[in-house]
Amino acid sequence: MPPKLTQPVKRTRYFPGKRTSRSPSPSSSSDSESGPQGEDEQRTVKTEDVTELISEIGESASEAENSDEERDKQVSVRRQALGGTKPVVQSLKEVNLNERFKEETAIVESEYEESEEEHESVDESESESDVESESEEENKVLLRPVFVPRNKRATKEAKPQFAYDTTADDEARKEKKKEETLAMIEQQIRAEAAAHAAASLHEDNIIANAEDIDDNDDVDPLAERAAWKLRELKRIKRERDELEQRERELQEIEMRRNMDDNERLKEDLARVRQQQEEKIKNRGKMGFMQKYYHKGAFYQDMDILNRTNYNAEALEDDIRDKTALPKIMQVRGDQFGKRGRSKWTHLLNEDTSQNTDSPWFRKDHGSKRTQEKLGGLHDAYPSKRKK
Amino acid sequence: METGPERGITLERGLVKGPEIHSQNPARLIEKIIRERILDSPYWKEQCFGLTAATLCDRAVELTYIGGQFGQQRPTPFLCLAFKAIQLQPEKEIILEYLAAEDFKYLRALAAFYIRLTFPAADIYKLLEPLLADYHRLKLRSMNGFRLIHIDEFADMLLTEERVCDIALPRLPKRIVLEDMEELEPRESALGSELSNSEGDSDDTNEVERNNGINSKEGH
Repeated sequence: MPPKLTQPVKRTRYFPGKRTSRSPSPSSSSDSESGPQGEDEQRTVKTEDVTELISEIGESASEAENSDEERDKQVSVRRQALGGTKPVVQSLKEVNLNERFKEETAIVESEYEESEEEHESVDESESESDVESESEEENKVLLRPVFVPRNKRATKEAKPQFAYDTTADDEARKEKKKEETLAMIEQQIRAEAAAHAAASLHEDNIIANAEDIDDNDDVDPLAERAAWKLRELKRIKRERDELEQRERELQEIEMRRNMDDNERLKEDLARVRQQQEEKIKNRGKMGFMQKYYHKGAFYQDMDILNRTNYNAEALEDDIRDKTALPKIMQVRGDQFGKRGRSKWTHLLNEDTSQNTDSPWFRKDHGSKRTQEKLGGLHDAYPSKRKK
Repeated sequence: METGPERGITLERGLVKGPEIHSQNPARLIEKIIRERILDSPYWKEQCFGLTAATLCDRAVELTYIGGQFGQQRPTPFLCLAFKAIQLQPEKEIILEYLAAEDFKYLRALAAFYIRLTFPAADIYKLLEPLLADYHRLKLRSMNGFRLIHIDEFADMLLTEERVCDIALPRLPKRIVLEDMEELEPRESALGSELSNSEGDSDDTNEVERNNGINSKEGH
């Protein structure tokens, strides 16, 4: 640690291209200050600062009551603390910093040159130690930045060593990787094709890919013949059914012609009744608050209408049985708690016509006249108007 | 027989000069939209130019599927060749020869299709019903993709349905009507002999009843 000074000295930091505030002493052997700062220039500035520093220290020290010896001791202590192994100088005034600087830089450079051929770790430690010493010597010596080629850099130590040696089996590795990727791609394509085939097989034997369908007739002739027989039988049956239906119709026409009007009417009514009964039977039960969905009056012939059961519940609610809920919660969908929701359920529920309390439907004196005047058919009072 | 869309002043493309089929220009058997698509298709432009009946046969033999339109409303080669046949209007004998080609099922299918479009009703029944006994496989290409079908199914479709291969077929009276008019005999299925022998009494009696019923009607 650098010793504390009585007068704290402002450190001047070195910025390339920027002149420091302190002007160099004329006694120094520095070059002209203007122009680009070379390495020497930079160093000389530092040395100048250091000399000033030391001179200040010397002054401060002289102001104190320390003798020369003690001062020398201090200097030597400092010097040792800084890690220097050079012989201790007797007095401060004999210090020629420039000479010392030149020595040290020469040594450092030689060390660097040696280390370039040596092992890297040694170099690292050397440079580190050098850097440390350099910084501790108060910017006295700055290392000249030397380009270290990639092979010889110390940072290579940090890289992880791979399992395989890159330089040797490059070719083999590439080939292996190629094979792997090909296998992966093949597998993926197969999976896709299988999925595609599986998906398309669901749609009525329609297969998208032409090659999937075997046009070949020679495969299993017995099965083919059996299939053909089945088809032929179906066709025959179909024709027969058509014939029968036609005959039935003809018969019915014959019978109807022979009937009277009344009988025809009776038959028609019976037929209609039967139809209604069937409809009610097939209707199915609606859920508690299920919405009524009207299929539409047209296209009743289409077969697609027979597939879905329109009486079944469309949505799956969490709570099936809404009767157990309080009245407020008996709403459809996500209506509960929402603002502006009308409580209108369905027509029958909101029907007030059967409510005898309603003045519209009460038979009392006041409404009698109103009802008479009403248009249309109503059961209240027979109309007294002249016809 | 002289036909060809290339000659004459025509307001519409593809019109045919020659005898009218079903009291209209033969080319109108196929609807305008599909006709335009056929005429614009690359297959038509490349392959169907200057075809004759013989070369039409060659092209038909190379077919690998039947169908109407596929993909982005593209007409199949089958459809293009059918339209070409309508334009060419080959002789009846030629068509019958094509129909009888057992080895080339797609040629057969093409002939059947042509017959259904152009021939009179009684002939259609007479010519297409033998196909109901042929159970060779066919590939049918539609907008949904490929599908497996058999010749007898195809013939059945031609006889009963109104729209096959995206073409609206001309009106075909029901078989019963023709039987009543005594132009046809009741259909005898290829399974007829097997039915009466192997199947139960019910089928036998039903068939007998049917024949009786028809005979009695014909007697009116």
